[in-house]
Amino acid sequence: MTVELVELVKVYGTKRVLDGVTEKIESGEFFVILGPSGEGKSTLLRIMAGIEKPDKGKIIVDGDDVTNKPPEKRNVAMVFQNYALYPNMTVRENIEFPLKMKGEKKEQIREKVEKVAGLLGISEILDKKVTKISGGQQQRVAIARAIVRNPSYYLLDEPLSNLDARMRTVARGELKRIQKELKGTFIYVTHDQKEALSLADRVAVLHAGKFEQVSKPKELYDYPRTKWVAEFIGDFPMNFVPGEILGERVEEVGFRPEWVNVGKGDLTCSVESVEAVGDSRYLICVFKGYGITILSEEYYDVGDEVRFEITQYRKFKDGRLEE
Amino acid sequence: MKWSYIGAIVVGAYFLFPLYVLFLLAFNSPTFTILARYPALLPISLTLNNLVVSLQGSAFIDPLIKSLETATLVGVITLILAVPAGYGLSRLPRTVAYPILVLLLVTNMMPAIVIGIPIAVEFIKLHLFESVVGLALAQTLITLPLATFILQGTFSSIPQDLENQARVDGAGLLRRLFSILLPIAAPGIAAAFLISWMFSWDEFTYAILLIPFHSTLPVTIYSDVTRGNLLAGVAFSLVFTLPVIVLTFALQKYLRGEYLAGGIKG
Repeated sequence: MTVELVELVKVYGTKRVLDGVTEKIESGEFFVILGPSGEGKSTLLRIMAGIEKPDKGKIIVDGDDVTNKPPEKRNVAMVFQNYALYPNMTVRENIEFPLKMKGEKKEQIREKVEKVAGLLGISEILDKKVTKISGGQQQRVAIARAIVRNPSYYLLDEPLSNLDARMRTVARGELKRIQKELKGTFIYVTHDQKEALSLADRVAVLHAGKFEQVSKPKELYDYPRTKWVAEFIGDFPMNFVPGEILGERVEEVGFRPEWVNVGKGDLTCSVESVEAVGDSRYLICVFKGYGITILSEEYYDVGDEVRFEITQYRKFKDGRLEE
Repeated sequence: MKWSYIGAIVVGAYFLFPLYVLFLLAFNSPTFTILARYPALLPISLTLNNLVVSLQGSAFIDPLIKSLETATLVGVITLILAVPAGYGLSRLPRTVAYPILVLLLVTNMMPAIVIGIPIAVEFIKLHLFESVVGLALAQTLITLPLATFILQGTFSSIPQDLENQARVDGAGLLRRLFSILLPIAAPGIAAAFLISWMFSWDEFTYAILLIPFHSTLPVTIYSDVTRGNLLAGVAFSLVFTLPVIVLTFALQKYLRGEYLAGGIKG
């Protein structure tokens, strides 16, 4: 179902954590909210769940204004960062809980739980206590509890952050598969841009209380709308130099480390330090007094002069992308 | 390592010796204990006669029932009031909750005898004098702050997100309380009940002021001993310690920390 956020504002003390967040999330979309820690991502998610109330603004789900509805009346599923499993119950009881609250029939509950457990591969541990299973299993149980019902939308607050790196990659793939199968509206919060770019249909970058940019992952990387986004997204931030250096009549130009050919062209810079990633190297150089990072397949040493050319770049004015 | 065992044995013996003497008095024939010039420290002539004689009749049963009634009533009243209070305090900001908690505990600094007498005067007017309910209400004055303190800690250790999760899952306040909060808080609730119960069980000052005539077991033991009815006092004391031991063992599994952790840790 569609979820519309209209001019959401939330103030804590003197800090405007959310300062007019507006967006329409489409039905069946995997929508990722990306931002550094402390930017109010979780607050936004809690407002969508109904746990916290916005100071201003509205939330409209399929045309209904739910802003003042408490969470128990919203029919929304949520996976918390720490899973929030009920420690006094077994795995089965945990997954059953939301169905019981809806007052569904016993056989129906049983059937649904078995089905979801099968989908997530936790059928064998259904009768174990949730305190006696591993972290990865706990995470599956939390997801099972969220998807067992048929909510209007799903909220996920960094559900993979407590898993180790390898498990995370597996779980990420699984999550995407589940979302496709359910055709559910997933709203997912993370600070990990790899996670955001690989999961999302659309990514919203939250900065200074606003969605600074909402777009498809590829577009977010290739056409960052502001300088801040350009620097935030990517293993290395986008390089920025004044336009006149490249003969452009524009304030600044930006280019990604990959958008260069090293070893040819007529620009030169000197290497300050080298960062190896896989079998390629990021050269951190000084170019006419500006620090830049470029990707090279050749090996260069600190102090070397490197020739390079820029294959593509974006023009920026006042910190914003010029079309 | 060896020395710490020896230390533990010495300290243990120090605490257990009075109980051992109690045991000797109860099960040895009086000729070897209270009637002897040099009482034996070994169980020489074991007999159940002392107990059988002392525990017969209403002189024992009445105070026992009164004590049980009072202690259980204190435990129940305390929980009814302390569970909501502790939960409320745990969900308030610390800067608000802590002063209130400290204030609650300060009331316990007042000696019981100072409060006991005015309470007795008021209770005579209210027809609560010489009644189990009156005594239980007075003793709750002491147990309530303690229980609130314990339960505040218990509820604080339950993450707010667990409750939020229950709300998102569609549970209203009462369902959250009975399906999630109370079961998870069970160890703390058990501890609070146990402490209140045991406090009331051997409480003396309020008991002698508020039920002076047909009183609870501690007061009865006291009057037996002061009137020279030593063997009865000993027998009562023995029975008196049993429920405490039984309760502690029965509730032991709730008094472990493991029950609280798990599943919800980050």
